[in-house]
Amino acid sequence: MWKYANPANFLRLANALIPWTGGITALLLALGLWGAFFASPADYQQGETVRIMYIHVPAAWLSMFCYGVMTLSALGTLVWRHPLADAAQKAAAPLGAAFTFICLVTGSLWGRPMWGTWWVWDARLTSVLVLFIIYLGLIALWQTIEEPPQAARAAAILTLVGVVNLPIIKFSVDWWSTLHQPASVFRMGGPTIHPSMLWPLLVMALAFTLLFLTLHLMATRNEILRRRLRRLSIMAARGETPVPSPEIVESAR
Amino acid sequence: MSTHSVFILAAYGLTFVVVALMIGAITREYASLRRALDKFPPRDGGEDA
Repeated sequence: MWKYANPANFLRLANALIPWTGGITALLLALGLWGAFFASPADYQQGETVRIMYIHVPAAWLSMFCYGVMTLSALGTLVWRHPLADAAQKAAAPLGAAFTFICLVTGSLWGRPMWGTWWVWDARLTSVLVLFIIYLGLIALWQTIEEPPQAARAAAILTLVGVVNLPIIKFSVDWWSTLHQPASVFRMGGPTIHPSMLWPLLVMALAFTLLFLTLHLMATRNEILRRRLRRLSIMAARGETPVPSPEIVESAR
Repeated sequence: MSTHSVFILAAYGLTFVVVALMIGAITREYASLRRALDKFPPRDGGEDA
């Protein structure tokens, strides 16, 4: 694994993996959408509106999974000071913000017909909103601090502070009385969803996870190339001979 | 479809737009970086990234 933690090796690996993960993502999304719209029944209480679940729940899962990836990357930055860990963390933040945004808006679109309101300040919704704000704060932090090592350290610390929000999101529906329903898939005693609805949900969750992995590989590759280009540009400005690594240039092609 | 179909369409439509924007932005940036890196001539020796 450490072998691929080398940026040049990572670029080669990413270039090889991205077409495969992208292709499998497309196939799983097609299967999941078919299951969500045609193979699964309407809910006996919610009717057709339950079909929002097939994107809302995977987006919610991704919003937390992405933060978990960033937390591991933050540890890699602070403990091992590995440049790839910082690049991976920085690349994941906008993706996490996007999936959390999808989660919040689709939840609101689901809540309006079911609850009669777009938004309530209950513990689950509020803690997910806090997660979205943390993502935005991290993105702003990277854009504010010009020196990459300082930005990496500050972002890693903020990420580790913010991880306390993940268990709050997960258990908020158990700890407090919320309008949001309790867990119905990952819970003690097994899922409470009927198998005809569960399998499209799991396929969509897997598709979203692979979509994130594909986008994260692409975004981390961009981050590595951006840093490489920055270093070469500085060398050129200083009058030094900017010589890019053949591995990097080859990987970029 | 039910009377709530507008909410379903809005949810799926928004998700499609956000994902498409992410893919578009990342792909466009990659092409831009690749063009910029191509301006630097490759060398014979190897250098670790």
